[in-house]
Amino acid sequence: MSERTPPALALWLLERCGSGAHAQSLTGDLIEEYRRGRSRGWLWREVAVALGVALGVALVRSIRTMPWMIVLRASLRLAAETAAVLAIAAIVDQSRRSQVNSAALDMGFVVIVAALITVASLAVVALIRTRSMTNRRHRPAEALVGLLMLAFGVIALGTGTFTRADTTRGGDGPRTECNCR
Amino acid sequence: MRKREYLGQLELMVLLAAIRPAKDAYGALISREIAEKSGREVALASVYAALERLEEKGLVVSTLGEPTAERGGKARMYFKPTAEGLQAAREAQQTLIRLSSGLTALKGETV
Repeated sequence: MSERTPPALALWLLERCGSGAHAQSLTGDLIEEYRRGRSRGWLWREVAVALGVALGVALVRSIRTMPWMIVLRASLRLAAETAAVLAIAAIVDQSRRSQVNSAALDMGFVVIVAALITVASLAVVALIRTRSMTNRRHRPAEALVGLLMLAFGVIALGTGTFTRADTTRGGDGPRTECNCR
Repeated sequence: MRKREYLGQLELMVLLAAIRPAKDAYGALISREIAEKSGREVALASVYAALERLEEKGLVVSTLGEPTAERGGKARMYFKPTAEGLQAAREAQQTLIRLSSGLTALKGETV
């Protein structure tokens, strides 16, 4: 009888993404158990758990060993992205207003946009420079923080857009003059 | 002096399963032992993660075996409890006995 061969992709994933001091032994155990008659479904479940465990361990280790660097890089990224989004929003808003009211370019607007672009650029430069200060072990934690920030940004931007749309709609309606003195 | 840490439930089960076999225990054997005694399947990766934590705490030691063809050329890692490991298991057992003694709710009656 020929020996059962475990799925090559599962083993490749384990060797590529699995971690821990006993990764080789774990792979060996999985191959052995599979050849003893375990199903492919079982093997894939085990591989999925192994990848999850490896990610969890890497996250906990990187957060424990260098939290300040992750916090610093997350703050820099937040500053860069917020400044860039605000600058774009200000430019779009100004161009729309100048189309409607043919208003002249406001000096305050120029200063604000210049400041926002400067903040975004400085934060991006700092992010690039601090990249070499983190090693591969901290990347999973950084990726998670980045993902959380992206989710926060999408929610905040979405809420802001809806609020602005509501305000604009309310502003277009009939106005009553105030008679108070 | 090292800070004393409590063992988690899985860590304790893995430690006890590593103590049980006559010869050196390895991941798959420990996993099978836990499944047999507790009726719950534990993923091998979770067993290895627990073993790694136990090793960091100095409660087990590992030795690398010879690679074999039936394991795809991978070596087996054997685990053995240390004197501290045996002591920790003993203390956990005694604590559980003391905590559960006299609890009528555990005698099969519903509260």
